[in-house]
Amino acid sequence: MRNHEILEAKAAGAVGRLALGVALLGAPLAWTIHFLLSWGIAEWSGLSGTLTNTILGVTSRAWLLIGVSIVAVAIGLASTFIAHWCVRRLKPLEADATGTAAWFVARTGVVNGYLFTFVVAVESLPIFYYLRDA
Amino acid sequence: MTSPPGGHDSQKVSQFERTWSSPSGIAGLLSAVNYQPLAKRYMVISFAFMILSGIMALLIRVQLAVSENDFLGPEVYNQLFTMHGSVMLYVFAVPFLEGLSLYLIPPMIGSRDVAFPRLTAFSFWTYFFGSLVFISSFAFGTAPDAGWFAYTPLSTARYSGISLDFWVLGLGLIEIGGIAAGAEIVVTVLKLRAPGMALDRMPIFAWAVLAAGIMILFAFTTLLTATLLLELDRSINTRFFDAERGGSSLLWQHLFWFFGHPEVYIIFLPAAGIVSMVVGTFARRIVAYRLIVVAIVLMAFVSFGLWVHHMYTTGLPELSMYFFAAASLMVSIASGMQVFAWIGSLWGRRPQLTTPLLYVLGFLFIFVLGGMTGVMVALVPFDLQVHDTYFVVAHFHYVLIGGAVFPIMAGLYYWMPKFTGRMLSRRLGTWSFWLSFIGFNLTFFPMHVMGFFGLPRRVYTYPKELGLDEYNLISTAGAFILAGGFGAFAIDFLLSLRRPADAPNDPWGGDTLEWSIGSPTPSYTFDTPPIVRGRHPLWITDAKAADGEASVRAQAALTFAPSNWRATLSTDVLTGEPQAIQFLPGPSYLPFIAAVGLLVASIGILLKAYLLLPVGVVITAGALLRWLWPSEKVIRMLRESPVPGEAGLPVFLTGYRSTGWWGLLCLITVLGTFFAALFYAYFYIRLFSEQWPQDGLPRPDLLWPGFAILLLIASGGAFWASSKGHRDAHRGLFYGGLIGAVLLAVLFLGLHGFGLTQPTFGPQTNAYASLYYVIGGSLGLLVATGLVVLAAALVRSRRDFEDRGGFMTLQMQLTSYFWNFVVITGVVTFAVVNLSPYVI
Amino acid sequence: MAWLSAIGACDCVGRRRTLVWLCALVVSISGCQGERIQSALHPASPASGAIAWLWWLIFGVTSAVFVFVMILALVAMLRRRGPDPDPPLGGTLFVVAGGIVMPSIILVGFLVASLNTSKTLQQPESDLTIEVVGHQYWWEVRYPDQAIVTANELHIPAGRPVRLELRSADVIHNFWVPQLHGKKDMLPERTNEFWITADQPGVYRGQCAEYCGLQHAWMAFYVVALSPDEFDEWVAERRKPTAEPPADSVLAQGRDVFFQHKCHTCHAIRGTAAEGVIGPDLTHLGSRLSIGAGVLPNTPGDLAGWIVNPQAIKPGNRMPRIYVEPNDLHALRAYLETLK
Repeated sequence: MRNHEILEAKAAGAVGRLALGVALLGAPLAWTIHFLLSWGIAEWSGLSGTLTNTILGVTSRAWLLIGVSIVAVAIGLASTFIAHWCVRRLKPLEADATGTAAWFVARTGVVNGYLFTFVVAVESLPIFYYLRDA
Repeated sequence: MTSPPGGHDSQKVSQFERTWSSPSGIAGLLSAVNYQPLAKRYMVISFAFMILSGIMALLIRVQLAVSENDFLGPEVYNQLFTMHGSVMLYVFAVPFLEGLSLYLIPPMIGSRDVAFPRLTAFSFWTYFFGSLVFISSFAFGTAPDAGWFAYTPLSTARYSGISLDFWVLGLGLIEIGGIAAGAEIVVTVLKLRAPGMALDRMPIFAWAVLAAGIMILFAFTTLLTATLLLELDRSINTRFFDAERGGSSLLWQHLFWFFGHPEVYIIFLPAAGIVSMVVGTFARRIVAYRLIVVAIVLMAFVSFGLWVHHMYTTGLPELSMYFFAAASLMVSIASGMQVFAWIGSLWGRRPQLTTPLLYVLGFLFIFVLGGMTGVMVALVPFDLQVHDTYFVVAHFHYVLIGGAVFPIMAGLYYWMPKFTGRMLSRRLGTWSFWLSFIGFNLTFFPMHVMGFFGLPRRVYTYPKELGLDEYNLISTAGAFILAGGFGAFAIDFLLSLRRPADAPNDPWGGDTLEWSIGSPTPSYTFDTPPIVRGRHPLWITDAKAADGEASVRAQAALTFAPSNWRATLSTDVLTGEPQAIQFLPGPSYLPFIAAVGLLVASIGILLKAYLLLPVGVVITAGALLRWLWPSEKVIRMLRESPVPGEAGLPVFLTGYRSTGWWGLLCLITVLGTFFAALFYAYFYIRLFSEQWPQDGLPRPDLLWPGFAILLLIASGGAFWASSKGHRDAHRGLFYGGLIGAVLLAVLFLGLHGFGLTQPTFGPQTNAYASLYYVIGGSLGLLVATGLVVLAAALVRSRRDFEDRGGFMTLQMQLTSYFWNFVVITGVVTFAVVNLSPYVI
Repeated sequence: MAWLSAIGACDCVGRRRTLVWLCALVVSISGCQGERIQSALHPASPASGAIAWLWWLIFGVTSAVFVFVMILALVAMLRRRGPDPDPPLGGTLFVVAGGIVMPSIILVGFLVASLNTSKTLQQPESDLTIEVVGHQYWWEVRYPDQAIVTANELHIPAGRPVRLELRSADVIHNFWVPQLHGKKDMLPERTNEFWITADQPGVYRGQCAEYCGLQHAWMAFYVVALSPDEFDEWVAERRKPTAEPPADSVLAQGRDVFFQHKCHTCHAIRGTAAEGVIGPDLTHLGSRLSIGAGVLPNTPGDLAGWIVNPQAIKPGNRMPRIYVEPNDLHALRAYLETLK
């Protein structure tokens, strides 16, 4: 096993901290945005009775919520992609570098990305039961 | 590691030990800042409160043992169930786990103390005073009786007496202590890990308390804001929760549960961290480390998206409730991942069945069952039936006693040698476990059925015709068996104190650093800073060569050193590379005095002796100023010390490398959450109002406030120029910018204050008016605080303008972040209060 | 070996107790029909039926999962093959399969089941509206279209959905008749819409389910479901002009006692000068099932006891203790009993 500090320095050269941060927390932030917006829209329009006009048989409230969900899933997938990219960048370093903190964060980011994107998708499910009412 | 290696003369060693010891007697009691005595006090006091609260629970169970019982009567019963819940959740669970974390984190991550030792002391004293205020209500015969959730309007002045003031003010102090401890834990875990402890080598317990600490910053601040609004309603008749004057009782529920649900996970996460440590030691491995970390992140986020599942029956739009239902279901994936990781780790490892492991196995049974009922109550239609019934009582006792108290007991048996230097008895431990386990299930399992058969929560009695006497009697009997389990532990603990403190360093063969040092942990924790070579540092026996040069050099320089000041290593957040020698302050009375100031202010509000309020504020503010003001003597001592040179590391860091930067980030998070909660309240009440501003009040001015906010923005620009002046060593620009920033801010404050005196309505007029004044007043206080920070930079610069490598640069950076935050908050406030009534 | 036997013992006790409990639960829940007057698992309406069905579904699935996880934990502890055995599929995949995939499938299923149940609970069309106002600690019941005011009892026609308008006069209360539907809060700031249906005529007990202060425990009420004909009769009865002058002297004395003791400042009796709104409307007191929102049955003795000292029976309710001469008390009680 090589000197830990040298390995960490190599890993740091391969991917920046911003990329790692996005890889790790991008999807959780997508979840946060999705959750707050969905709740805000549903609560506000449900209580005030707005956004009830229908387009193609579906209320504009539901369209708006579907749009928010699509954007959130896209952000989640994008951050998952960035996590994959970080993993790829770190792999060619010598075998030991896969033991570095950067490697760990990138791999964790991949799992985080898929899991949180899945959660966002599941949380969009109720919209399809309330396409016409609140 | 405890005996001084050759080459260290005994004089230096004893000076090192002296530097780290706390003063004795009363002085030590009030001025100690070491984490050990403070964390121990946290644990002992909160555990004592748990026992007290457990006794209340027994009285409750006696009252409910048979139908239509008159053992207690409604008044006492309502006080007892309120205080039982409040004490367990506010005074026991979180403070105990914070104490446990504060005690274990430094030795576990290889640090000599926490990042801000005086903040630990401040946290403890505010907690202590808060818990005294809380419990003293019993002595005055007016214990709170509106439930641990204190729903408005029942908790407002119209329906409750002074008892609720005890509740609100005690809770306020406890929350401040909790937030301080949370920030402390976050910065310590991020910045003070041993060299080599990269993020992927952190013990899972450290991950768990890191997540819980961050959650505390958001959740506790929201509750603090809610209790502040409630106290304003109670004491000066603002109208936030007064439905007759445009307020909303549901606003309280939203704010409360935005705290209340994460609170459960703030308790569960560290408890699950304990389980991971115990399982890891006895199974001698932990599988799927990464997935456990992911589960912790999932819980930390998604637990903030569950709060409305306490409000399914309030009549919110169904779709909006279903977002919370979906989130509530998804969060249980995080529990599932951890449960399977623990089972997978234990798989075929044939661990020794010690008391800690017994408690962990009991935890698995109870927690998984509680998790199942948790999934059930997340479902909207099902919850309509069981909400606020004994089914829910059963559910949350399964997750809180099973999910937190059992792991805490496991942790106490596991780490007791580190706390007291003594092992607990295996025999009594086994008794304690089986009594607790059987008693627990007997007490709480029948409650599921009682809920189905129509028993609501919080009733002091129930009619015989419900047919629940047998179930209740079993439950009451079980409660006494459960109490016997805790009794066995208490006897075990007290007996152990009579034995000599002769526990070995590592009785269980643990893998983490706390097992490498003495039992109990010495006041300096590590005489030699450890270097971490893997996820299980104590199980790695080879590979000395893997240590980095910088780490080895720092380790050598810090062995029994520095001997005349307290120091530990500060490392990189991600990689754990050594970055600096972190100075840690010694004993101080200031945290105690600052906490006393808060206590005086609270008593002033409690007794409606409002003169005490400014007295308390002045005491606290004075102590804080003195505390934060850098000591000339210390800076000189640090500059002259040879240790940094030997270690090849600086003592002053700037930017995100410094602990100060992270501390400030925590502070800004707290303040930002406070304002976010106020803005949320504004728009929530706006949503329910047919007319805005309510009752035909005039819309706020745009012109003068707009001009004022431009002044504030200009002040931000001026400070930016001043920072540049400092960086470029340009005195003219520095002073011009700084003085300009101060003057512009003073001007803003004057205009803003003047603006608040102008309206024809007062804060009691209606909810809109209350919001208008409270948000405006909060901004004024924030800008005034910012002014003090600016002025401090100005005063400091007269002495240290030339200091560009360290302290002064850091001060300018932090001042700049803080002032930017103030300016941004000012702009957002303007947009919310002045602009939004014209737009929506 | 000691640990093995300990684990074995633990297992037997744990498993047996679980089994006993599960049996006890199933037996006790499904066994004693008829005795349960406030049970969510003895549904008497489509809404409660749908919720109970959802419960049995999730109960079955979660029980299976619980047993499965406990067996896994047991096997993990007892298994002793190989020096360094990994869990099935290896550590990571074991966690992914058991901790992510399995719960995801089950939980999404639960979400769908829940959404479907919610759809069946949508507010139906209804031609009868009842307003229920929560007070500390009693229920004001109004039939706006029929001009009926009563308290602590709802009379509804069986088989017809009834629309409810719920609100509170003071703190938050919660309307709950488990056999007819779930819960709905009664808030001071707005009216919540809700509905109940009773499949069969009968009496169903309900209770306040949101902690509302000192006497939260004794804030109960009854829903009396009548056959459609009986309900029409009941309405007609209530709409008759009431309070004809008392027929005999005792009753007349009772009515005078009522006014002498200022009962009318809080209570109303339609057709008399009593128009108080602080306490329950007494126009039909004589026909009610209970006194004090469920705290006592409506018998002559209990009514007298209640009048003499309501604070001893239900401490903290708003009715003050009034001293009434025994003779007067007898007359007052007799008078109140005639109000049907």
